[in-house]
Amino acid sequence: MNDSYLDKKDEEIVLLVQSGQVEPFNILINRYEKKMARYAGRLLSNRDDIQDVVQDIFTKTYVNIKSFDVNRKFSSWLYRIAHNEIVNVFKKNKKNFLPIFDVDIFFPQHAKKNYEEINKDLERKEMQKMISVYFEKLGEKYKEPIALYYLEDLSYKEISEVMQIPVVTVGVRIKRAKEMLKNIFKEQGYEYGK
Amino acid sequence: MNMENNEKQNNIAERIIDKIKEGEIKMKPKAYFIARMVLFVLGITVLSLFLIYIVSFIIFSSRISGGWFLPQFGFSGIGILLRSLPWLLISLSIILIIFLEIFAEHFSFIYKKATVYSLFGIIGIVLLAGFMVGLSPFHTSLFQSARNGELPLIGSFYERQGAPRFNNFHNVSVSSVGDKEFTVINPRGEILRVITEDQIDQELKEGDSILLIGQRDGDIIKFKQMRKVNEDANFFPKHRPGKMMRPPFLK
Repeated sequence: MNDSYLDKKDEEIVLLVQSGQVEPFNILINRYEKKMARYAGRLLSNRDDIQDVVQDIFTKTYVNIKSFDVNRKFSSWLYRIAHNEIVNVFKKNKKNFLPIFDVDIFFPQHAKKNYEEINKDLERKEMQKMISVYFEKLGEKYKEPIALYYLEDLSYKEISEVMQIPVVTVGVRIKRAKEMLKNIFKEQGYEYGK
Repeated sequence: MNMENNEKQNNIAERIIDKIKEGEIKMKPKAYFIARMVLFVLGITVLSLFLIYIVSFIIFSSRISGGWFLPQFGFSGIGILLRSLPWLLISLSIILIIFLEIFAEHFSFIYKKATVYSLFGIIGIVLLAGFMVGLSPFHTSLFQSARNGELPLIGSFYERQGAPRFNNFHNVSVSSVGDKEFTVINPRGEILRVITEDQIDQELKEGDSILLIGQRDGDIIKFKQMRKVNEDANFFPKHRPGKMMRPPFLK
């Protein structure tokens, strides 16, 4: 592998791939393979599904790479492809993933004041721990935004682009997921924040 | 197990690169994405224009049938209006609005905001454009052409739906005035005789546009209520006795 690619930004590498070079695409796969496997692994239970999804994500990325605008963030675009692939697996397995109509998307303003992003590092670390233990207990529509936010370090805006839902809905879902996790935590006899 | 997974994961990169080199996985050209986007935007534009056409047609139809003026008769008028609305076309418009919203959700400036905003935005724009077209001479001229048999394809649609016939209210133009009766012509070109039990308290003259409430039986309308309305004279064909059906009481 050519080391000169390693210092380049994702978007610069994409530009090279778009121009017809194949090797730089290897760098992108290496950079994101584990992240994609982790993201898919959080939402899919079947190991074989995860491997297939990761392969499909990168295949689709290569096939559609000329549609990517290098002025945008590559990782958000990649997560969007991953999201679509995971949704396809859910559809194939006929698993009830997300409702067709959701009041959070239609009219999420009632929770407007509560959607500011959480930036406290301590809280972030505590949440990451809670998610790793109690993730499966969360409702389906809360799993993806909270995983993207706390485990994949995406911003609300990026999650909004990945899931194609309003930014305020992302905030509402993360807030509710946090409350659910705190309640589960308390039910187990622990006290949050201590 | 973990080693096996790692090996499998490492193979993903190799497998994909090999497939790319062998030509099994091919990049789609930029022209494909441009064409797809153009088709998508074109689809949304056609859908929007069709939706505006349907909404404006509903408005035109309610104008020409007289339903537009029914609220002036109070609650009873509103009741008649609700029963006379073209619910099939209204349902079609609602379905088209839902489709338009679903398509519009593909754009980031739409999906980043709550659906309620884009939905009300679409409804607002469609209603505004629908009213503008519905009040313009666009449908009137098409309706006139259909009435004269000069409109192929959609001519029958305009004839049937453009001026729907209702038995209890009538948008008409006065063609002649008598003591206790007068004759009128409706947008379909039918000449009707209006009979009243008492003297009409409003002065009528030939060419007045009026909205009548009263039961129609054949070519006779039993007068109940009426309002003079300021409606487009082009809605009504010119009354030329001899060429068109003569009023029954003149026979």
